[in-house]
Amino acid sequence: MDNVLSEVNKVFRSVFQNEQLDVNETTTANDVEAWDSLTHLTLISEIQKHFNVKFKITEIMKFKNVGDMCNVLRTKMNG
Amino acid sequence: MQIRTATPADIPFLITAISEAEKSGTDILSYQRIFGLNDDQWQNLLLNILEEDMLGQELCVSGFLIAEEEEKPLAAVCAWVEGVDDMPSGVIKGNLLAYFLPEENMTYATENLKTLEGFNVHRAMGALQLESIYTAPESRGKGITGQLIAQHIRNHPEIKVVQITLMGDNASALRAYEKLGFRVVESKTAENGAVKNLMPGMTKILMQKEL
Repeated sequence: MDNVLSEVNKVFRSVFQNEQLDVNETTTANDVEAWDSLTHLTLISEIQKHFNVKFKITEIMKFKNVGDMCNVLRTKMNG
Repeated sequence: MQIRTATPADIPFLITAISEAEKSGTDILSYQRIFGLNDDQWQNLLLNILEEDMLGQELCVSGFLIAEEEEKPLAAVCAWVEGVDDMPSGVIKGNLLAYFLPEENMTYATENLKTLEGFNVHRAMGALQLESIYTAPESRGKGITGQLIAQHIRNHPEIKVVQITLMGDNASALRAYEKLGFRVVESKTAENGAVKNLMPGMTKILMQKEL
């Protein structure tokens, strides 16, 4: 697990209040119980705060799985 | 009376339809309560989201059919197939809210979102979803939304299952959908009493009709 995925996993554990939760690059909303519109909204907000980034709408709309989110984060963090 | 797909020119009517449908016969509009939005802020948020016209979820202009008479809109119903492009509608709507909600309103909502955790029903992937089912008060009792629902179903001949979510306290809506052949398949009652301050009811219901 690289650093970005590891940090994303921390946010997921916090948002879903589940210290046993382990997401990977292929994890989708269908894989996690209680991942609905309001949880997703909280996830995006917390990820942006944690990584100090602001996603563009074109970026957010491409997030089909956790891997897509991580790839955008890696790109943003690499400048 | 004519039925047609909504266009951006219908956004003012759609804002009314979405808001009133969301209230479910009460004076509680969940988005305003959860995120601390006044009327102008809520309407501005909804306008921004509707202008994106993102398919696959309930806040999408292109997803609406409108019934009108002499160019006056009478009723509206939104429909989409759940899980288009493998994206649940909740994720698409969550993305839009995350993008357009001001930071201070997200902060305001933190405790409210915890209160609402788990208060949801499960839409089936591949099922046709119906939402924001609204008829202007002066046009009610004429079966107009039934006609809109029927047209949405005709527009999706490949669909085998149609679903509607509603608040359990909305007895008149429940009866109306039962008359259209829908039956309750899932029900979720909130255990946290604080939910009644945020939502127009304490029970969410998922109704379904097999075609």
